[in-house]
Amino acid sequence: MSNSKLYKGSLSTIILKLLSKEDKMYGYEITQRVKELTKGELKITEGALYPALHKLEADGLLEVEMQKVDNRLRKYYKLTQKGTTETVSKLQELERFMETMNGLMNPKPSLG
Amino acid sequence: MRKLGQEELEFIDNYLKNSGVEYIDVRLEILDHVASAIEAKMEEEHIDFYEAFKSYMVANKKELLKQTDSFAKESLKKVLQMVGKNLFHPLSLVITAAVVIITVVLFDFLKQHLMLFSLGLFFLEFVVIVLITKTYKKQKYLHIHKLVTIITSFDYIMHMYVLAKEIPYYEWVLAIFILINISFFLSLYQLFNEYKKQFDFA
Repeated sequence: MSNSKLYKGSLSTIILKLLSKEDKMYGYEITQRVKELTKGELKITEGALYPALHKLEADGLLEVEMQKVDNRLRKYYKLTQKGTTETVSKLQELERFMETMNGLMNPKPSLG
Repeated sequence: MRKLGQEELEFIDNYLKNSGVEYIDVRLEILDHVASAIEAKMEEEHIDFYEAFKSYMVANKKELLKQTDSFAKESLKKVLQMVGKNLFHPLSLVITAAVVIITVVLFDFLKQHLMLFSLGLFFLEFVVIVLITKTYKKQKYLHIHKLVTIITSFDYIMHMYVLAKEIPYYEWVLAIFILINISFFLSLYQLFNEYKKQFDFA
């Protein structure tokens, strides 16, 4: 992943969140969707994306489907039941993290 | 957007193969990624295939090939999980029990020919592996290759250092050996079906 190491720990959550909005997605499509949603701020490299996808697949959170598209085979990823449940918990975890960071970066002035 | 033709796809596939991406299942996914990126590049920059290919590879080859190590690591995890799960498969337990009972009954005879018995088992497994792997096209599939490597190494070590001589609790060691092997073969069969479903190679 380019730009920031800060995003690295959230890559799985980003993938799961994207897949929760679509029926299925393939690797290149994920990189382009992230680029588009972040207006080019976040570029996921192949070296970061595929290991994350394969780990999610090995952990049973994603399942794959092969389809012939444009003269070649395309590997689509989609959420499993376990993956759908995990997405909810990962998003809650990320939200708590963002709240904590926000509290640290922008502390409210103490009344005392 | 212009889509790449068969010849251009074969060019990328050969390039990846020559760059060390030997497993077909790994290569197919990288090929689709590279082809999609090149098609977009050709469209955006109004350049031809070879220019787009060269420019893409200069910028991304290192990053692209980096992932092959992670494929291997995840593959090992996947096949070991499958084998572990299959140890408790009813078929594994039934076959193991049957083989052990036969061995116990025939043990007085077998212990005089342990080297031959162990070699026979090793040969039998080798034949099964050859038969299974010959049924798919002459391409290397990562998980199958990983599992076959583990089976043959395990069986070789067991044959060389354990099963060919009379050791204490031979029947129990044999039971564990058979159980692990049945689990190996069940996993191989499941992987074979998984690939067949995905790639329709048989």
